[in-house]
Amino acid sequence: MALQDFSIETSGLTKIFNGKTVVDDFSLQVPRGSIYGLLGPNGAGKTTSIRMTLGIIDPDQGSSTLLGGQNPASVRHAVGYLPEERGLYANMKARDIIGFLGALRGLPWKEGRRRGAALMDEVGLDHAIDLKIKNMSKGMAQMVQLLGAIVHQPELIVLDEPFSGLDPINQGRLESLVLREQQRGATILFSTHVMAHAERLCDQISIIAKSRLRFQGSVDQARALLPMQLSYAPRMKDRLAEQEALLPQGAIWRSDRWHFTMAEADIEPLLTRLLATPFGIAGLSIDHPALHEAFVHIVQQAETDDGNLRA
Amino acid sequence: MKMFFWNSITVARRDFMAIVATPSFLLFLLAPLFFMGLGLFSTLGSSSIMQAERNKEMLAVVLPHQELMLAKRSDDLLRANMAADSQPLRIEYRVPPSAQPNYDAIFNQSGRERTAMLYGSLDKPQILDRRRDSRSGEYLRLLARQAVLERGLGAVKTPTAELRVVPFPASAKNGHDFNSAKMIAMLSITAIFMLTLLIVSQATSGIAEEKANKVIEILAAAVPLESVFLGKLLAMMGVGVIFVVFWGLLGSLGGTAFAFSQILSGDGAALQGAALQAPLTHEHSLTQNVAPAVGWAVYSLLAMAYTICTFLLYGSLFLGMGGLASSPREVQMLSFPLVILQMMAFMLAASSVAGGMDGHMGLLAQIIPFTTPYAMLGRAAVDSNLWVHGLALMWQMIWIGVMINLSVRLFRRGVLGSGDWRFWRAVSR
Repeated sequence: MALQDFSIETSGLTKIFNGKTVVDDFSLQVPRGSIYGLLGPNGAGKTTSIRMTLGIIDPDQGSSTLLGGQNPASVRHAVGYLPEERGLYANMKARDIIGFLGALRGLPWKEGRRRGAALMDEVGLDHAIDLKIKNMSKGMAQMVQLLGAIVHQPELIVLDEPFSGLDPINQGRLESLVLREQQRGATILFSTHVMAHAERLCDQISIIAKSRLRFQGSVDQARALLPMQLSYAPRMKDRLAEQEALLPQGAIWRSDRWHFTMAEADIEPLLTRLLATPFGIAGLSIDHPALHEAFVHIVQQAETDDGNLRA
Repeated sequence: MKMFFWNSITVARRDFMAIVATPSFLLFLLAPLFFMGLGLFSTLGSSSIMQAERNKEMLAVVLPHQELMLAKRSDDLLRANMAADSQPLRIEYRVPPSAQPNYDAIFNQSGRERTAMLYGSLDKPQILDRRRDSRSGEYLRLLARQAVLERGLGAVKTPTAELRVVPFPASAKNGHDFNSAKMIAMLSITAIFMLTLLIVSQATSGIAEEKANKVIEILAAAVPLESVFLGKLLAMMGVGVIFVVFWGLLGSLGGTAFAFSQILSGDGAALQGAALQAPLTHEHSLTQNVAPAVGWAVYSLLAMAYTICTFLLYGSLFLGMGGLASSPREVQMLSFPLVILQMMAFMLAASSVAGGMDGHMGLLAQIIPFTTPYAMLGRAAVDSNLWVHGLALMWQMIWIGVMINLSVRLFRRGVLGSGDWRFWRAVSR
């Protein structure tokens, strides 16, 4: 893939604070125009990775390229960023602060204020346009900060834990906003530890745990790391020992159904076998594991690997 | 580079508005008024205490009636020729209560504190004094002599001398009054020092506040930290300009109002006369004589340039320190050594102005970056060479760049835990 097809490319970013490696060999490729999720438990190194990627802090090793520019500073005007630690000037009005944040990225103040008003209207906060930040709820202020991050219509939007602290209504608004920005042509990278958002929004995800990237790919690929979850109801409710022998190890009989997991590729041969027996198939449900389970699996695996390495 | 300045202006504009558009700015603007009020109050207080003390003390003249009247006339005459601040104590006039009065008893009579007393007769005056050679005793001696003279002169008219004003010839470099120029230098650097002291120290709390409200990460992500720092310095300078303009206007208005009040109250004739006639009759006008060596216009420009340099230099230092503070207590603790440094720089520059710019101290003050603006402004007052100012301003620009850079490095290291504050390491990367 050519260089310009990625909005973000990092290679081997490493950061050490006080002798402790907080991010180790962080290499990421975020396709242009995609919504990319950076997932990880608390303290995994997501925020430090984002800060290094954006050039806010210098890495001890490695390099990053944003929008094809070798120096992240050279493309600042085309980047929008919502930091994890929310902060706004308490005495400024929403309209003014959005204008100011736009001006920092090169947008004329007047235009920023105008666009700010339109964006506030769009997310249903038109009544708060002239409200000072100190008089706003936390969620409202967070939405204002987010609007300030996108008011200059950046090519790349980086959101660090954007959903935390928002109520379900505002989370929905934010999801719509993210999708709208993607439709406009922007690339969005956001970090989260809430899987539902990533599952609904992301084209690609990375999972970071114990300071290292443990997974990169699509949500489906992440789910595919775990076996499928099957629930099988036979036509006969007796001769359970014979039935169990046909099923994978660990199958559990509960509520007149067998519950077990198995690889996707093995499902069809099993069904063929079952149909050929007198037990037949009275009911069957096949579920992909949720991203949440894949995430837990990857993180636990990382902890085990880390433990093994230390041992 | 254009984007860098745009960013700086953006930060400056926000900071400036955030400072100016608050009620507390009015308090800041009027702060000197509080100081002046406090000064006036304490001056009035102490002078009224002194006046009360003075009112209790008095002189006494105990003479026969005729001589007493003569002494009183002479006293009026003498007092009329004395400046207000050198007037002697009030006099209690009394005729002797008996043919053989006890003067010591009169002198020590309760109710008044008599510091000296004239008694006897004008031909043979006697003086009682609390101590030898006191000013009060001297005055009574003079009064007795004057009264005798008045008595002898009778109605003889004394001539009035004609006055012609001829100031001292010019003795400073380039034909200017050297001492006046030094005074201008001292006043200017004191003004810059005070203004900088008042405003620049706010930078520490400004950046600490930015850290506390977490905006700094947004700024650091959006624009180079150098332009954030420069923007903050520019905003502070804007505040300084408002301050100077406000007090300048107030001063001008006060001066104009005073002039008008003088004209209206009758002293106007004297004022108008002085204003109209002074350039014609004086051999040197005041403005010609009391002027900096480089002339007022260039001096004003240089004063402005050096004020800006002082702001930027000390401001960046304060900003760097502010980046390390995380609470108001730390802000105070970190600001204190810098204020001391500022005061030391001012004292070095002031002593170099007093001692001469060509001495070791003077040269040192002109070279050390933190004293350069003060010392060079002092030099502009007494030396008309302009090229040295070009050199000094370039020297200052270099140091402002270095200081902003170092402060940013300190900030990145201290707050963002990133980058290397050691200059040579950062440069070599």
